[in-house]
Amino acid sequence: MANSTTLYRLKDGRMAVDVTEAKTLALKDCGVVQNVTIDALTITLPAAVVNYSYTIRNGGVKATSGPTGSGSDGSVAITIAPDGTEYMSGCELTTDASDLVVNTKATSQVGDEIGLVASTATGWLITKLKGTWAKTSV
Amino acid sequence: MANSTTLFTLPDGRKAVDVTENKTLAITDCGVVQNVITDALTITLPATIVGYAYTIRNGGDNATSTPTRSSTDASTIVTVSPNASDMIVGMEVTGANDKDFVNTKATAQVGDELQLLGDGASATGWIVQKVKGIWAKQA
Repeated sequence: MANSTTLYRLKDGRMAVDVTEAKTLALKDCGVVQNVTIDALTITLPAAVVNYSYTIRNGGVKATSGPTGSGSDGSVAITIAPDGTEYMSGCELTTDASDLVVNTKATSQVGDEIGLVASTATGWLITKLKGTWAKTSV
Repeated sequence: MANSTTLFTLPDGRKAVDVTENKTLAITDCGVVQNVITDALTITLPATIVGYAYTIRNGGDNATSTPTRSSTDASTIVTVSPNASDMIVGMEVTGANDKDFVNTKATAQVGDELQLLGDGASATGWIVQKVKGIWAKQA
């Protein structure tokens, strides 16, 4: 099943879209919270273009027969992958080229989030972190 | 009556200015929340320039004889209009030149917001940085 393009409003008012399959982000995904609700997905960033910005959020796996937004902590690991040899840096998290950034499943909480903005110099700058995210060398 | 240039502080601490007439944004409007409090206004963006950043917020239209900022949801439709050769891109929508984005009145809530950042590129124009509420692209 393809990823949804239907926006909905999070409790804090921001608009989000559920991510249920691995996804490569594009220009049109800017400005919308990418709410990951399936375990072990990889979100791949495009080649950095200045001013592109993304927010990826851990929505947790929805409880069986539960309503949208009923995800639980510790249910979803999210992997963020840069394009090629680009890297992500900021928020005291420094990666090397091609390194992944992972929201560790065991310690993840619904609402964990990473904000990224593209920079020509480095690839991606981390503008916001909620929760435990760690780099994984490749 | 011309638009106000008097800043005030929103509950979240950001500085804002009320918009009560159609407004074409300029460099001086960067960084200040444009708080639209009159129904059916159009906020027009300048030609895109790298680093220009705007936040347009639905402040709701005050009911008659009520205090300032006592506005209600679904009272104000806000239209954000790019330059003819620019587009607004993001929000899971494919951009197109000269297409407005509209905060639909029926579903609008006070606090709905659209944050835009200019990229100066002729192929795009304005990239959505953050969105609250339902904004629809002009057909």
